[in-house]
Amino acid sequence: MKTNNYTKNRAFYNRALKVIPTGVYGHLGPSNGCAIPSEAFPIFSVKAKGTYFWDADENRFIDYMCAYGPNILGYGDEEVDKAAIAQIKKGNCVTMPDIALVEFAELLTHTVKKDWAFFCKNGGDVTSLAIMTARCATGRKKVVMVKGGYHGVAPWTQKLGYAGVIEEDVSNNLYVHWNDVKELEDLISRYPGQIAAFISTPYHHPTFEDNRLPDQSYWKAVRELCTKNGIVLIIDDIRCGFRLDIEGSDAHYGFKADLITFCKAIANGYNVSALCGVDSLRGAVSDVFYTGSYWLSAEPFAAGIACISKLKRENTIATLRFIADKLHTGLKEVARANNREIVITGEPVMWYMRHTNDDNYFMHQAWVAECVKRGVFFTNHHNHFVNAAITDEDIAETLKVADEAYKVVNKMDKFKI
Amino acid sequence: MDAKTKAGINLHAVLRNLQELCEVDEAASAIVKGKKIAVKFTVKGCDPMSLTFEDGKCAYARGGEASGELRLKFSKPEKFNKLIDGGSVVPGFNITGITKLGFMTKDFMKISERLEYYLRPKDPSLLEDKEFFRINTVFTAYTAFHALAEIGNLDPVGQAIAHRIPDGKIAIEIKETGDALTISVSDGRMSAAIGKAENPNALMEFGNLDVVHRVLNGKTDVYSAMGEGLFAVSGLIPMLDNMSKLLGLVSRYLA
Repeated sequence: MKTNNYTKNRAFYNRALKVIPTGVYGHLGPSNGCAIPSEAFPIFSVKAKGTYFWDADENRFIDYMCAYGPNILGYGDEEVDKAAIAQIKKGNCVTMPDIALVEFAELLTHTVKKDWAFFCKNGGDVTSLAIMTARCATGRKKVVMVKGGYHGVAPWTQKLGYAGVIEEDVSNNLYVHWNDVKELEDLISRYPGQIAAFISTPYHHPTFEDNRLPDQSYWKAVRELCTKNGIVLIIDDIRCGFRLDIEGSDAHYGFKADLITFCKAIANGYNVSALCGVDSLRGAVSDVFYTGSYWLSAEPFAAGIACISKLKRENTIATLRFIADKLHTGLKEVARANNREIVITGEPVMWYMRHTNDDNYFMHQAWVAECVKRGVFFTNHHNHFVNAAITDEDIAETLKVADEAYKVVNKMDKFKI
Repeated sequence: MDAKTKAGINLHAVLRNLQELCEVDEAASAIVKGKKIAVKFTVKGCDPMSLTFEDGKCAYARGGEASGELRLKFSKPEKFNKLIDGGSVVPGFNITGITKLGFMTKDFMKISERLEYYLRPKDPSLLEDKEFFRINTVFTAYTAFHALAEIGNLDPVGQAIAHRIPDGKIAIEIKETGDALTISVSDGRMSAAIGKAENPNALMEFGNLDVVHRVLNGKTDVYSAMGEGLFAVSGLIPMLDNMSKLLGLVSRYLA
């Protein structure tokens, strides 16, 4: 099987390094994106359609990162793009918000069974707004979060010792372990009347760790503790939203959040995020001064309306689950046939994978690199995603590549078995 | 900047280089040739350190009771740091073995200057000499990575970072020369050692000495080095991610 050449990718990267800090910053960059070794990975894309993207050297990839979540229907979904383009022709960034704002808010609140929606651009915009809203509503400072959880890049979401973060940024953060209700209960007792919010993803999907689903009684217990102690329960549904349940991931796990954040899959790649909440927090969020130059641009609202409408009409979530199950079954079989064991955790549509007998991930990183070099885009330590455009042929090709990647790795001196 | 951390760095990252210096630099070795003396530094809040000079060689040791004839005990890290920064003996510490104090004021100062000659060359053209460049770069790496461990153990922010590093060993290797360092972490406690790690949990690999020199002197960043194909990481990335944050603090102490 042919392996990719990245000559043009490298050339663009070297140009980028001169004018862009780190060349490509953030999670799409080779450093934060854990492209290991970096020479196995592409760096820039030139086009995308369906489940594929093509890099700067025109190598085609079956993309299991889906832009880290936004791609749910397939890149360039015609229905969504058509709505967005039509909206651009009508008006996009205007002095007055377009009526699409109202239509999108109505659709979204009706879909996720919340009372209001507040739109921004990125996930971090709305997780920060959720914290401000909770603090405004309760008059309290402290926020409880789960160790290893991710809520964006605002200073309060980071840790002491991270560049640019000062002690005061994180001094009101409290942490508990995932699924540990007793620890949360103890923390609430230790800080009576001081905790404004508990913020968490609906299930635990950190990097570098097996992902973990909630214990059966977990969310019910957390909900009760929050209600009893006047703590705002915030679900960070940025990554999971519209992939587990069209009504939001709180509905998927059988409870009701006070505030819930959406982004990524909300508009199939058009940039909009939303904080949705219950009526009792409408006053608090209204009091918070929060705005941005492009937050009320209409194009993403039109895309969001088209995207959510299509997700509902086509029951896309069931399709995603079907695709994920088929892929995972195949990957496990291919691994076994090559005397390897792949471990898949988390929700199937957003699975995390690693290999057994590989505690430090050296072998896993080598296998992922060989897959990427052959046109299947996995990443090393982040959860993956599926989208509705993946076909049976794509899965078959993925498994063929995975098989060859195992065979190459199994011949490497370091990993010989 | 935390004085205790700076003292720890001066002891266990900077002065510890005297051991290797005597091995690679004839002039340094000549300064202490024929001498037989053990010097023990005790600085409040830091692990003690002793340097034993014998037959033109120097042996560094951490902690424990040194059988040193000359013992310098500092009640405050600031006083020790002043001694190192000022390059001269200052009042404010207790001395045991006063008859040997001449070694400190003469030979020790001279050999320390020799170390500075390599670590902070006043004449940039010295770096054009291949061997000088090698010693400068390798010693800079030794200093930086040993300093990083001190910061993880002593600096308040460094301690927070160190406790986020999973237990295990990080290998730092220079592919071109085979020079290597090992950073070990156990329950937030860090140590550095010269030499290749066996079965490391994470690997940071520099392609050659030149890229090590450029990265550690702030002339290039690791992203550019990665673009050149001269810097790579693998294994348990959270170890390296947090170690890099400590490395970012090193320049504040060694500037």
